[in-house]
Amino acid sequence: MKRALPGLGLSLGVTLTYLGLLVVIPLAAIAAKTMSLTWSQFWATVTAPRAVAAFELSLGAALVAAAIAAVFGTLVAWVLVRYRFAGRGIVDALVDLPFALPTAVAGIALTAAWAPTGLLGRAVHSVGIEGAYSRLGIVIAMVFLGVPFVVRTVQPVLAGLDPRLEEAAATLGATPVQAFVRVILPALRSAIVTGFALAFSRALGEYGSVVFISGNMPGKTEVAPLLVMTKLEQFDYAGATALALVMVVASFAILVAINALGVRTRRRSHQRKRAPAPEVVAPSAVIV
Amino acid sequence: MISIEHVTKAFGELSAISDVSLEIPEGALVALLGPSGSGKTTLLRVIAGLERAQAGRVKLAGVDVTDAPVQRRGIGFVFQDYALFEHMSVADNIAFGLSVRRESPHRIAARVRELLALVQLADLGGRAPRELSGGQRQRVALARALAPAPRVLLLDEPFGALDARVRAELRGWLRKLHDDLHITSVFVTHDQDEALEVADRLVVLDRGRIEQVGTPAEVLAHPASAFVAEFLGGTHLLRGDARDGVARFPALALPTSGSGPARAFVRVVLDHST
Amino acid sequence: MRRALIVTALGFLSIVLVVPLAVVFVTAFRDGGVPYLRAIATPEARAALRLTLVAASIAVPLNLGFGIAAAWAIARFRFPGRRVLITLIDLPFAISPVVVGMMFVLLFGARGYLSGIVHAKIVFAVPGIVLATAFVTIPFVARELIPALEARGPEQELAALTLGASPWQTFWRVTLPTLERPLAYGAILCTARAIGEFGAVSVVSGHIRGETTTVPLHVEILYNDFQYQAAFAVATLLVVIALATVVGQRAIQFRQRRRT
Repeated sequence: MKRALPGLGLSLGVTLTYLGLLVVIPLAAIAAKTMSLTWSQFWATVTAPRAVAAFELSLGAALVAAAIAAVFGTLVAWVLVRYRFAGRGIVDALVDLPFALPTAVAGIALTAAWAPTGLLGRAVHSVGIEGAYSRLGIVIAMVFLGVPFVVRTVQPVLAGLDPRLEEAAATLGATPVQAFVRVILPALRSAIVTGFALAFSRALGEYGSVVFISGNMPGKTEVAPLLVMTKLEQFDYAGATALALVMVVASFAILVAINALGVRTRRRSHQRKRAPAPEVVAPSAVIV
Repeated sequence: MISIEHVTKAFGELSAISDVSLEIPEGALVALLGPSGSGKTTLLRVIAGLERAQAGRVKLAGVDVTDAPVQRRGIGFVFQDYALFEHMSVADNIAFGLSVRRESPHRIAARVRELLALVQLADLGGRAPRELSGGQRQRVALARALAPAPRVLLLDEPFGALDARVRAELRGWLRKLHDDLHITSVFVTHDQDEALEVADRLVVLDRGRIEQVGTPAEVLAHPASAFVAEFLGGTHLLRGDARDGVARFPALALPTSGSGPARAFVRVVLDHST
Repeated sequence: MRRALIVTALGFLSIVLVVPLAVVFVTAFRDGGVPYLRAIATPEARAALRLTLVAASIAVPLNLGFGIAAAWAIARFRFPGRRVLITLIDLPFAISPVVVGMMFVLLFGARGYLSGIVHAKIVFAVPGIVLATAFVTIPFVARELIPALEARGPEQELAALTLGASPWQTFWRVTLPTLERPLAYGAILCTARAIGEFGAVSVVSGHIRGETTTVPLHVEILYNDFQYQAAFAVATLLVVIALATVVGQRAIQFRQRRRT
């Protein structure tokens, strides 16, 4: 059935060819390589103590970091949308910086700041906590990357909220806190969850900013991507691929979940023209 | 001029028009009238080539254009929301159909001037569409569609987005335009008053089928089915004469502009007061 | 209450964002201006810069073209597998950069799957870096264009067709001009990412100094060599680019808002 609007054939052809060559074939390479392992070899690799420790650490740190990012990111979004203060525009622009910054730079900057000799590291060290070269350091790096996702996902939704809802709550006798918890938060829930999921997904696969601050100690501060890198450096391609396959499958699953959540949020955010703050760029700008 | 033969168009499971056949003579001003979902817009778009029918043929001036793409049918189309090119000026919008034909700039400029005058927007050529009012944008859309001298003019709910007063003005103006240009025109509306006032002939549609084709008087006086009677129901046609700012009808006199034979469409509404 | 929230939010951002960035500049200029300039002008640094720019100048136009094609197909049409396609385009976001690099090593490495077919040196050489860079920047332009096209709807293009324009004329004169802003936006993000990519390029490059190091890799090499001042000095270049990216985005938004 021919359509009136032209160009489907050409555009779809180009798209599929490009993706086929650049995305599908490389992914197939991973699948193929994994097939070269027997099932028991594969299983042994991904269940080796070191690997399990790495997966657990990645998962755990990413969850914690995404949660922190969700809480503070929502706070930042709230402050940016609801309040006027000097330098608000600059702060707003600052939130975009982790997106634009190369991860290697973020990595060394965070390490320098949180090392025992660094500005912030010194402060926590005096209380007996390790900043850099510890699990806390990994979480910090992941929070650094995750906050912008949450802020940029929550901001437009918050900005587009009908103020009459809160007015109604107030006329019905709700205190500001009650109004927030029972009226505003539910409306933001989908956006916060999406932001959380994006931050989580990003944190799982993160390499550049984590590799410097973690110290890469097997079993203690070695996250999954670092372990994969180590295996590559040792030319254990099969082992690296096995781990990578697990990561890719997990990433894909999370991506599908995010898209299901995010379709609603993204569509809403692009229809909101009243947002006083810049539009949602966040989900597009993922830098690793 | 326009020949629609046994056209059927469905969207997935939903059948929009079924086995519709229609002849529209040259120079006529025809209204496709019906409630939403009647298929009137779909039929218009099939004529334009913006939709492809699953069955049936469409012929323009005797030539079968069923398989021809939109850009080669020689039709002018005015979209419901005008679809003006926001990044171009009014003049460039109007010139578009000519510039893609690589007409000489001289001739294009002359034609644009001509059309701007025709739609009474002579000084607004340099403006951007967003600076214009709804009624002005509508006239730009019309001018743009007319510029390449199409043999058929199709309008999709041309007055839908405008307020009542502007609508009334533009209706009379469209009628006059048609009388001057004699271009075969088909427009879609769900507003029976509009259809009755403007069109030579009405095509009443319901749920994808044609219920009746006829002049406004015919359709009012002799509805072919219960649906037509009900849809156009409650409107009476009075004939009278307009002179010196007053149109006089049997037992009724109304203010108006112009002089000559006049018609009034009157609807009786009962106040539910006890 | 209000002040407490603002202070908390700003405090949080300062600790997480501002201090680390300040550290970069402080350390870079720790020994003064001259060592700084020397660090960013070494032959290796300049080679790294050249390579970074080469990779970006190939990857970005490729993904601009792809983004336009994909956005047109996805935004203007419905077809089976459309959702899958959207997810596929997003995939480079979700895959860890180390895995990205590894995929290309598996394909083009010494005993890679395609090493029998493709005889040029891809990994541990410039082409590999270009490929990895192109991969990670695939989604950026498409993800800006798709919502922009969807928001506008096809009416203007259909109108152009009714006026007799050919498909290409419609594309050049009606579609593209209205996509200026999302294109610029996407191009900026794409470029910033291409310049800053680290993990994937790290795997694919082999770290051959002067030949296959990009600027981020150069920073890593200096850092691991304990040349902190030099590492941070080169890092400031990347920070400046990142700041320029953010400013560029703001500028585009500002102009857009003034026009509407």
